[in-house]
Amino acid sequence: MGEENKVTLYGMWASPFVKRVEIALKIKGIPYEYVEEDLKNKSQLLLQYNPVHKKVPVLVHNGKPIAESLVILEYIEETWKNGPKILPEDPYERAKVRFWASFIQQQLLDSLVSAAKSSGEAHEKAMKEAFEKLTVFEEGMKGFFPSGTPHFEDENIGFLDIVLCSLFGPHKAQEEAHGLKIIDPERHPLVYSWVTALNEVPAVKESLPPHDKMVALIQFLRRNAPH
Amino acid sequence: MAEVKLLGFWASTFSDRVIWALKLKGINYEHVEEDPYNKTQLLLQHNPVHKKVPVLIHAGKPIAESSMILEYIEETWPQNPLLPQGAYERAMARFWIKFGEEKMATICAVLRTAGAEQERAIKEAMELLKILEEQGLGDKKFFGGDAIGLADIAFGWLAYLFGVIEEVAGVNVLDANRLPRLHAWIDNLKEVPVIKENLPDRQKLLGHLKRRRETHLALPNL
Repeated sequence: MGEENKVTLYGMWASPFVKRVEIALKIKGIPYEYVEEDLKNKSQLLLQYNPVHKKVPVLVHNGKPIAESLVILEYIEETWKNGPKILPEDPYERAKVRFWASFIQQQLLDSLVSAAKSSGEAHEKAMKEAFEKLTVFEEGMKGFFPSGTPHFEDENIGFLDIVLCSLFGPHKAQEEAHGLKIIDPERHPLVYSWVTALNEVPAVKESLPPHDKMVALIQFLRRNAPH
Repeated sequence: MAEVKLLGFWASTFSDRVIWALKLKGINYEHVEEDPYNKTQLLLQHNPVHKKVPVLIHAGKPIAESSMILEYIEETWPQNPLLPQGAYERAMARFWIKFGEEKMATICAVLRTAGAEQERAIKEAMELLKILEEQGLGDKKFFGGDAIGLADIAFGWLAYLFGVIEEVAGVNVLDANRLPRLHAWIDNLKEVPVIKENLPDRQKLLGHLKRRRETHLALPNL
């Protein structure tokens, strides 16, 4: 690949934030080079490309680095105009999509991370909060799927789909590792069927971290988490 | 043109951002002042998820969360663009806006803390502001370049609110000697007529934040 239009993604195999970018690049059919980072021993290049946060993902396009997964998604959308669109055309629809992506990312994820890190009463409280937020999300999403069931022919997935499946695609591994149900088909049938349908989309399926490796990693992180 | 309504609160910097963006683009709107302790039905109905200001209502459609409202305004009213043309420059603006969102609470922690905890808060705030100055602003006049943009609007709180926080907390973080470029940016920003003419009353803000600090410090240490 020549230097023009060269795309490199610095990532880590289990990071949902990296997954988002991978899925978006695949959906858009953008060829890219992937560089796996060891987060305990970050490369000089990564530190140079993301001096502010020193994190993955970083997308480097034509030598210029972009960090922050949602910022990268918007950049991809604006730069590669051929191929499927990730965001809706209408500004109001875009605002709704961004709103719910932010809700999943900030509200929902925070509660689940708190729950995963705590035990006893604090854990119960955090799980209750997480379920309430999932319910808010479930209700909010009914308008997005008028027929009731999410379908994704021709890989026509968008920004919100990408954010959701990057975080909850591996939910079975997360549930096994934490020993609790996160996406319960009985409590949150729409979210459950949505994530399940997304996991069948080739670009998503290919990006899903291997189940056993993921379980092992989460359990390792839990054992070694600072208290 | 369809009706534009803004549900805001005088002390909310998130509300101010939307006012600046609307005025910079010359958009007529109706301002509805909300009382956070006595929220209107309109607010609860149009932002049921977060129940917070600001909320922009355009042709009956509600948009919540200030950063999303700013993007919506930019996309709907393209006159006087507040984001650069190039995708990379736009990504940089969004990156810094996100940085501000994530780090605002940490930078403002000086308001909620005292003693040794406040000392730590001062140090952390200075480190973050140094990063913002060196990597975000650099030698530019504004984050947006020669003219103000969404990133400047998103950091506008540094230009007025933070000074009041420093006074209430009895600290000096945004020091002109240590952060000269950020200081110059503040002066430049406050010269922009729309910003200058749309800042909350300083005395009122001082009283409001004093009460906030007292409430925080009275809370038991958890």
